[in-house]
Amino acid sequence: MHIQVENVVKDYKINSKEQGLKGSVKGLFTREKKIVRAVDNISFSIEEGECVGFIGENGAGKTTTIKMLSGLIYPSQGSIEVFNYKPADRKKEFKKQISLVMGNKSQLWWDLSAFESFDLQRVLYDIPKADFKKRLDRLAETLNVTALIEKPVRSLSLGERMKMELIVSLLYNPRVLILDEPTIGLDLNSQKNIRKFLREFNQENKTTVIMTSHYLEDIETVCDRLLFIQKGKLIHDGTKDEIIERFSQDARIYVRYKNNIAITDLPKGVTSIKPKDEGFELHINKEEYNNVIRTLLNLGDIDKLDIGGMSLEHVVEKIYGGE
Amino acid sequence: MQISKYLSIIKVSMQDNLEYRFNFFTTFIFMIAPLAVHICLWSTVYGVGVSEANLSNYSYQMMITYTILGHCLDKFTGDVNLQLRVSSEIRDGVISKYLLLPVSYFNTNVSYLITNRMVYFVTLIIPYLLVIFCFRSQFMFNSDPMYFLIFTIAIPAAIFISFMVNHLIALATFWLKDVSSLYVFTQSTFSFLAGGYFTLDLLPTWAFNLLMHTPFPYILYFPAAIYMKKLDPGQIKYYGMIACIWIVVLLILNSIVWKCGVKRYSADGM
Repeated sequence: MHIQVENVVKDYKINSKEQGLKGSVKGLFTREKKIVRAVDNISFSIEEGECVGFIGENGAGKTTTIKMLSGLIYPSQGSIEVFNYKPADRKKEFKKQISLVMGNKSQLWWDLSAFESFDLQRVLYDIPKADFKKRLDRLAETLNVTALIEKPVRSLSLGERMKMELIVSLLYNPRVLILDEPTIGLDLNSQKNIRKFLREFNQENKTTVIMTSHYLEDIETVCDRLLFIQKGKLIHDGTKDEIIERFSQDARIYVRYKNNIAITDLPKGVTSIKPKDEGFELHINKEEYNNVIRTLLNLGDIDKLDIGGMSLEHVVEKIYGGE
Repeated sequence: MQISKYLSIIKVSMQDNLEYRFNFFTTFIFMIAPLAVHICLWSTVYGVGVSEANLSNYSYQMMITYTILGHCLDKFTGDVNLQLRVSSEIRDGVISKYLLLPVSYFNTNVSYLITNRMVYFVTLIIPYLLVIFCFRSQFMFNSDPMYFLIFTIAIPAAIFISFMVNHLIALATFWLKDVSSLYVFTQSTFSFLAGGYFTLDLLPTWAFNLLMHTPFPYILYFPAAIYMKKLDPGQIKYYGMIACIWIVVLLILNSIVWKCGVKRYSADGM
């Protein structure tokens, strides 16, 4: 097994104090210690070359899990093995095979050109010069930043910088690439480019990709498998369709009539309706599926009818909302 | 080779340091002002006729030499930003970046220290030579090659001891979260204990003896006293041995505290 996580728990000890000025003054002398369980007994395994996405609300335990996978923090209980290494031992050989890209933490030297950081990476990771040049040229070309690698990092845009972060993380050909919010703060076009790049990189190099993101499109586009974490617990491990199937009792229907007929009386089983592209999008209870379709057909001549499952976004929103 | 990795870090951080050319000039200006105050102070003390016997047999010339040399060593051996930088790197989760690299954080900081001290040396050597030139009639020149050689060996040791003491205090951030209040206290206290405010020879014998068994005098007083031939070969040997013991002790302490600290690390800010 490539990555094996068994019954892992992570507790944080935090000092809690009462609110307000009085609480702050009191906190100078006495502080109550509180134990917060960030990750609660999770187990999963990942095969080499898989693309796995963690989804969950803020504070669900996604980032804590990847911090443990990359060896930044120790698990409180349970065991983690990444290709036979315990990440928290931080062995040099382990570090040379794993890469962590943090959307809000830079690995680049701010005042120097990105090339200087790349070259330092070459020495630190013992990358042969010929391989380094080949990989750098290829990555820079794929990400379309060849002309920018000599510019000081501080003068690059956020999107350009993230591309440089990806290059610096991939130059040594890690077996596992872990990304924490890689598209945070990027414009739509940059987000799209990075998703496309990650997908292609995974397919070409068989690099295992593990990522977290609040943009579900990142996860949907890049990852085949989703790990849904809520309140520290792993509530689902499977494909996008499996999540939708398991957590959503609804289906989605788009209908447009030839004579612009309006749906005034909601057929039984319709949970919501909204106008869309001169027609209507209906969310329906799957159990009432036949009944709704029959009613819609009886209303008039149909110009277009699309039937599909709910979007991942809709399902995730429902889970977050506790429905 | 592991050493080539740290040499590369030195090279890159040197380039990074040179980006801030303005710092060179401001460092020079801010450096001269307190030195001038110190020299004026001692000139006044000797001017009102305080006897040398009351000042541990320090002649005016010796005192000015110690003041200039002490000031220079204080600036040169102590990296004032180290404690705050390491502390904020721990607090803000920046050390995550180093924990992921196949090099050690301590050694990376030693590489930064070497760069930083080289830049300081290049920046400060000319201004201090100018100061010495201006006070050439009061400054004692050491012509004993053996003492001068030991003096040049004592300087890297002083830099390393100062680095390890400050590094150790910064590592307290793993437990205390914020050591900025400690910073102000430690910087002034360490400077006092190292002999940065006045020569430790002015202290009572018992205090001097006690202090010489702590790491602080080896940051400043010890190299200055060697240069000024205030210590005989036997004392240099004895105190040199204490300095070596402190280097080993501080290395071990840094390693233990780091290992315990990273176990508590929660990589905040990520």
